[in-house]
Amino acid sequence: MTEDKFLKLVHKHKAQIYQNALYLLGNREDAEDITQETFIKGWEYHAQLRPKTALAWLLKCTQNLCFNLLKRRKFQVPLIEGDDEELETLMHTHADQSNPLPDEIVIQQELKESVHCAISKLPPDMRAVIIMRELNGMSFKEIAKVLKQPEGTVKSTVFRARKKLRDILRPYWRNEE
Amino acid sequence: MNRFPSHPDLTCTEVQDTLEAYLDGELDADTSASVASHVESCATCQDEVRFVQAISDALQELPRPEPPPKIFDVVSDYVRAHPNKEPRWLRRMFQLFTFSGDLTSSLTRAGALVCLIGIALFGTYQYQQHLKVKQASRDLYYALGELNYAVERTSLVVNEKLPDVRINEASGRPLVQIEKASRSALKQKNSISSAIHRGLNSLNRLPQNISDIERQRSQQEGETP
Repeated sequence: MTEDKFLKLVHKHKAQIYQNALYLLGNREDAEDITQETFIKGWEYHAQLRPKTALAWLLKCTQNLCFNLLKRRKFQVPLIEGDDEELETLMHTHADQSNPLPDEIVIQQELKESVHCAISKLPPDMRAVIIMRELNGMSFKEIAKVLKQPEGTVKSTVFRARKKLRDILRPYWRNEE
Repeated sequence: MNRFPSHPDLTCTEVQDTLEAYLDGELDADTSASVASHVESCATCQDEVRFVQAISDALQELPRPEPPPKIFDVVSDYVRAHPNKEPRWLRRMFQLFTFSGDLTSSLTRAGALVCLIGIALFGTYQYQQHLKVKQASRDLYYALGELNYAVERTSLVVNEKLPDVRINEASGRPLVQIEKASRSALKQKNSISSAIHRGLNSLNRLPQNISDIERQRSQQEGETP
């Protein structure tokens, strides 16, 4: 793969890789570092990269780097209360856009704001599949290809992750007061 | 995925455990129908379905922040600073063997594959020929060894039986030098034949028979008195 072709690949997938790293780590600076490292590793192994499977390779590489970082930090993922949270800013910006709202919409708004916090409380493997499925809109087959797991296993992990999210977010649901 | 084959009357817990799969359409028709009929008649589970859908909507609306431009700049600088150092032909060969990279022309790949198969077949044929030649040379070497042994044995026998005969070892060929022997044999033959001739001549000069001898003796005696 030539330099130009690789840089085109970087331009195409950088957002997805960055978002994955950001949601896996919950920290903007770490996400930037991991994104850069992923692409640099991609260039080092560019002879093995094929345009059709490059995204799967890059996503897997991102996840491995993130998991290694989390392992080094003993899975201490900063939550929404952290000091430097791009997600926090984003969610507040999103909330400010909505003016006086009916109660139900306010509850749903609170739920939306809490979802990314709930994601950060999931175990890393569940977090990874939820991000790929919900944020990147990947099919079960595509996720199975990235994780090199059977499709049934991926489905099961996704459903278990959503069930866990439900358990975490239950306090925000109106009937559970 | 049929988790409740024999239980058409599901409990709320069972239904709520499978709501994600149910809403994703991943349950089989029978189980899905059982869950649907339960949800229709259960207010708690209806609320749970709304909860799951709300989470699903919230997940769909998660913010998707764009990466800062400096990431691309850093990667771009790195790539430019570390250009591809592999020789082009080596890269091409690697891509060919791994079916990767930008060598995408199927025609090129097919041609290269045919060439590779041809080279492999030719190589195999050449190798078989080489093996055959090697075997033949081994056989020939063995046969020469046998021949040398036979010549050696022959020379020993000849030396034993005919001491005058010599084997020419200087030329490395099993040539027997018999000139001397034949010359000596010829000399012996000549001397024998001359001896025989001399004997015969002597014999010719002798009296023919005894009566002639006696007659000659009586004649000599008659003359002498």
